Amino acid sequence: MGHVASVIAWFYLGLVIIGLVISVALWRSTRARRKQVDQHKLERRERGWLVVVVVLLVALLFGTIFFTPYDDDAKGSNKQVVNVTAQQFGFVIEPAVVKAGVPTEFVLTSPDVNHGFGVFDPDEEFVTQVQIIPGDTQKLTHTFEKVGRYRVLCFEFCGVGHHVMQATFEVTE
Amino acid sequence: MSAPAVAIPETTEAASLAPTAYEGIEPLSDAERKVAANWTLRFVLTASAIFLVAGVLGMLLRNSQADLGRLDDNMWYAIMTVHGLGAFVGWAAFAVMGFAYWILASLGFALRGFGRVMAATSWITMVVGVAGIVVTTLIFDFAASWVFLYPLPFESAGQWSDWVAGLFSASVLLSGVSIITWCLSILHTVVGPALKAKSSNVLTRMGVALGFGYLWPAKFATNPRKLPYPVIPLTVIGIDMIIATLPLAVLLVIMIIQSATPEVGVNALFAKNILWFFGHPVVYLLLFPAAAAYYYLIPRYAGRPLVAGKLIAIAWAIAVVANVIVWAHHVYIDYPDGTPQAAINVAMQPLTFSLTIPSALSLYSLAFTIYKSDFKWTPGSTALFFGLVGWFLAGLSGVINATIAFDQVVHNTLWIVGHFHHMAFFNIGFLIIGAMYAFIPELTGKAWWSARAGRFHVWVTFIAGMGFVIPWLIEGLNGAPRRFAILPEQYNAYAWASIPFILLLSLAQFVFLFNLIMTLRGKGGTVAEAAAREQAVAAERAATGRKRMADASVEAVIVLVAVALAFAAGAAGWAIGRSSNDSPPASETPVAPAEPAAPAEPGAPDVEAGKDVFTSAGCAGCHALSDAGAAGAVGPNLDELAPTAEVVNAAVTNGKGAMPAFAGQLSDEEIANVSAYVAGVAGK
Repeated sequence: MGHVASVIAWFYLGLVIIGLVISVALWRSTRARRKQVDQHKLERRERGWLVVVVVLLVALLFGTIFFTPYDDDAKGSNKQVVNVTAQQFGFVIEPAVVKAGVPTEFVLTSPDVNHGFGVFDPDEEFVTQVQIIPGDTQKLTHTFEKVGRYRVLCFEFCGVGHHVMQATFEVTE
Repeated sequence: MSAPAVAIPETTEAASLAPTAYEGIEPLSDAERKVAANWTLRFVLTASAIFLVAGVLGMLLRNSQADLGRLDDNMWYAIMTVHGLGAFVGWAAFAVMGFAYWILASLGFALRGFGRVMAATSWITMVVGVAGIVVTTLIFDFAASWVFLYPLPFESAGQWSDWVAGLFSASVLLSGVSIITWCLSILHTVVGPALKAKSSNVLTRMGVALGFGYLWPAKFATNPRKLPYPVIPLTVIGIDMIIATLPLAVLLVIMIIQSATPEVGVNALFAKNILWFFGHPVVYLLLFPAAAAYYYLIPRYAGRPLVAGKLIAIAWAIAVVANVIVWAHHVYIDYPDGTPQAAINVAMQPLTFSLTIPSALSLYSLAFTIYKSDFKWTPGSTALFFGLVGWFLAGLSGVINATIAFDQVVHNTLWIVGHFHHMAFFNIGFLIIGAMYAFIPELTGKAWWSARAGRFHVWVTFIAGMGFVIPWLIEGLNGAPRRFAILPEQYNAYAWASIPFILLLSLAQFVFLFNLIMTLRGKGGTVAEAAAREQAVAAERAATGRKRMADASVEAVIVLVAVALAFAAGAAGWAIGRSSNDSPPASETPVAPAEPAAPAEPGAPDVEAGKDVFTSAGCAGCHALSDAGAAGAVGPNLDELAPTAEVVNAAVTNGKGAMPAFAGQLSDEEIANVSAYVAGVAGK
């Protein structure tokens, strides 16, 4: 599991546990002997809980919105360009060898249908992805650190051969 | 045989339900109730039949991934297409669309005149639309997936013809007509006399039905009682689905024209945005009527009014607008050069977050309504409670998907498949199950045949359902792509682990089906009889002082047994999956000791290794070759062509026609091996 995937896993797991505890508490609360509950009091408590959700969402928004893949990470002259043509059911990657530590800019096009460009590192760990739309040029910049043979899988359903549509490229010192 | 075969139900749904939690409702006449009941039953029972078929098809898909009955590649994708549309629109949407009529009728809103005609149109167009989808996929091989991402329907790689794409588009268009006519029937019903709005202006009445009276009491006045909350989400979705469906309808019409005149076409990025402009709200075609059902049913089981107020009206006012302007969170990973897509995507992250508010507030309201109430735990109410758990889980993974930085990792992985099964199968599916338990006695006058079977069904469905959804979430976080007929082998163990849960899940649904059939045949007696039986049992218990085993203990025992079974099955599946991974592939074991297993001398191509190259490098996607079990129809059929090794070598190295060059991806040795293999087996 990659770095971002681990963040997601912990974030999700933590909130799921909280949710399950609340669910069990809710279930238990229906079995206790009790006095009449004031409906308006509950409405006020609900407002308090809404604040919790809003604060969490605002925090998540500001914590993540600056990490979109949309900025050009390779503004400098020091980048290597790789042209990728995705077509039913294969990739043409030129050149298929890039240097580690230097930003790689993939320039991706498709002559037929929508495809995806999902990159896995030599340890089969997911690295990054982008979609390729016929009629437009898509760019994806990534700096590879790990040396070895990377695998590319198609990440958008493109027809009967979708699952066999794959390729490799090499990252060298 | 008049007496039921099983023990007397401990709690019948009908006897546990308080009449209504909303005050000032004027009951409909028997004739009006009958109209609504008939349409609700017709929608829900048709949807249930579609659910059973779609469920079996879904099981075939996962079994095939686990290599238990491997399907032909295009058949797998065709089944994926019909499973997705069938389960999502034909079951989940169709069922909650039907419940809406009964909920409105129970709140005094009669389905009448124009609304009735629209309801009938909606039912028939959905049935014909779904039938068309089944025929075009399962018989005519249409397999462009249930989002039919343009222009894939017209780039089938030889698997289906353009006219099939046209017929499929027409079928989906009919389902779209069903959605729009349903919206019209709902909007016509909610502005009817039961609204009690002071104004006779249609737009003002629509505002009242949207709950604006809670925010601006003077302009949107009602007399004397306030608007019952369940009407609000139904009105919201009635408006939004008309806005969302019309552009898709235009795209579908263009696709129908293109199927006959190929020179017609649209921009792919534009088409993708149109698709999701519909594709996001259609999720809420499931959720918002479900919310109405939760608002209506949870207070009845809790025996107290919904804890809500002004706040919930604000939330729904946000929803009616935000719902139709958040579609781009489905295309976060598309941002082609020179298009405004990246800016649109960034703007839609906070907008999508704002849509969390109606969900969060609804969950709070429903949870506070249950909190410290005298909640009756029946199969129906338990299912509704699980539905709320599903709502929370689906919302949580939804927030993750709505976050661009996270979506870059989870987009188009099996995590998304886990997310939308939590959404459609748990959040909505359990609502449908719960509402069936609650409403079938009201709709038919017949009591459920067996409450025990109901309990078994609800609990096993929850546990087994989690067991088949959670592996997808983990697989996705590990990078497993969705929509792969055959997954890369490192994910095999997950598919194996899900199989026992899927079998358990289908068992529970057949128990439900049996219970439903017995109930509809009147084997559970009438509602009045069941209520009387229950009272008699309670009286006897009180008289003899026999302690009744608490529902809690019964449930705890069922949970423990089910969890133990599920874990045992899961562990067994896992172990089998692992051991099948560990054993060497058959091709490495020499079948006949014809030649010593000495390393091949340099220069001599290794035919067995060549076969591995053929299957792993993607050759099978385009070419047919019977020896490798390949049926691709994009490039020439190699069995017919029967090329020499030199011809294959040149084509693979340099490319030929539409075929890409593989020199960069395969080594010279690998190319030599695959060439020798193909030349050796083609046409034999």
